[in-house]
Amino acid sequence: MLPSPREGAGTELRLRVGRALVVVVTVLLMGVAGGCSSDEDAGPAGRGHQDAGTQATHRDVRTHVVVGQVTGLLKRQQREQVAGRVAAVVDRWWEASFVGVDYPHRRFRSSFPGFTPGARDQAFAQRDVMTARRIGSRIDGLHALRRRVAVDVLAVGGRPRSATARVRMDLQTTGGLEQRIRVQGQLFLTLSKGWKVFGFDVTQQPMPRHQSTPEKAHKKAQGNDSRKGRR
Amino acid sequence: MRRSVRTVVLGVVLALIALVVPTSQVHPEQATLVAVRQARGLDVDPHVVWILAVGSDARPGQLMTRTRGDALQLVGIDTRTGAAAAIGVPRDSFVDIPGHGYDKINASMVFGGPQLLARTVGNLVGIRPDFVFVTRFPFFEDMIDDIGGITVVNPRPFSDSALKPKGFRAGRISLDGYAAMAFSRIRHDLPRGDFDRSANQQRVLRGIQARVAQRAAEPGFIDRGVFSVLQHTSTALGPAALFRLARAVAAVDPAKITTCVVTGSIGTAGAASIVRPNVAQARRLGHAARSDATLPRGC
Repeated sequence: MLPSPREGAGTELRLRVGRALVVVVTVLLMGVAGGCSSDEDAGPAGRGHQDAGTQATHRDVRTHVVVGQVTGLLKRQQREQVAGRVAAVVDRWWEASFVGVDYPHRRFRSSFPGFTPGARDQAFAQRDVMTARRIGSRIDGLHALRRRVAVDVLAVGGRPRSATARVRMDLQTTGGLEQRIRVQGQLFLTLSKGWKVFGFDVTQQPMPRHQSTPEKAHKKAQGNDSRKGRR
Repeated sequence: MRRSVRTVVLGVVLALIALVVPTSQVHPEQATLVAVRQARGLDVDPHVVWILAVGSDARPGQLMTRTRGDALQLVGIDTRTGAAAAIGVPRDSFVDIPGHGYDKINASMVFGGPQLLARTVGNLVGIRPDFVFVTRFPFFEDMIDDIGGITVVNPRPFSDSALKPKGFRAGRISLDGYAAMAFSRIRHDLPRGDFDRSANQQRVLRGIQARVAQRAAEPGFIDRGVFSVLQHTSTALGPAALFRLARAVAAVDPAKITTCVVTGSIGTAGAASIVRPNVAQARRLGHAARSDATLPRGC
């Protein structure tokens, strides 16, 4: 009696299920024996895989711009125009100092477009914070996970006179050093042939692990934005 | 018996395993230590700014810039280092006012407005202020209230039957707008009169700077301050220049604030009580602080 094709298939299916169970049980046992297991603690292979996905998803992340506090009278259209122009200045800095640079990179002399000469000199003197210089020679790439600019405006006589850009950019490095970094702070701007940065107060730090997944950052950003939107 | 021993041994082994083998649960982080690198900069021209702050006692209806100033503080800020200095000038200082002969220094604003006052103070200290900031007491009180009050460290208790009958206790005290005004103006109960009052004004300035710095990161806080200053003070500065100055004030490092009061001797000129200022000391202070807004220890 020839085995019916149906029976043979059933045997093969049982074998596959059995092998899968063995694999699952083994993985579970390894997890229990290891004591801890999470995406964060995955080995280099696992992390690389996650980064590949991150790169594809977040390489071209756009800057999220919001109008912050407006002091004085300014039409809605003008507020948005100011926010857009100020954010463009911030973007130029971020591109020249972080994400628009070919890595490995060591020199950051042209990193401050849109800054006044005095502010440019001071920023260059503190380029370990204001650029990616500290890690630039150890990485192959640097891309943004999140870019956010909120613009507070002072208006007098119906015209914008000064602005404060509250900025935050989360970055992911690739290459010899794999790290997530947050650059955040404030830029102070006045109008002088366009918006110019005359002052800054900026920090650069590794991102805390519990906030480091792009999904979490994205989710949190959405939460912040919706809160902002309701205001 | 053997069974119970076996049971006990098994229990001990299981307990040991429970202790030694970690659970598969990921423990939440209890603390994180990360290095935060900070960069700060301000491009203000000149990078050391000198502002003559004048508290006017103009009554309602009087022109603020043509009345005698009750408080005179020459404040310098080095916008590159965050250092700040305040040189207090007793209002009764008897000095040569250009084009008007000897008189009390605060009379120069009556004769020639803020420009002449700036010139007269400049001649005494050796530093010509870049800006003169004149305000009257009601706005000063409102400003203090708007920023949420200030805290000062008062070295001695004092009072005034008219302005503050209950007085101020010694130590760290909180002041609202009215109290800050009274703290800045009272002099009769102070052992060194005008000199101690000038030092008290500097304590108030420290308190204002500390509060401004504390709240500077709040969205719109500095902007509202600039807007209010534009509405209530006499200044030739535009909004953008005031914004830059306000950012400079907010960026001052409290640890780098130094203060001195120009000393002198008490005398009379006619019927008026005056202060004969120690011009040599005033010049020495000005020379020391001109380029870096830092006064020498011990004044």
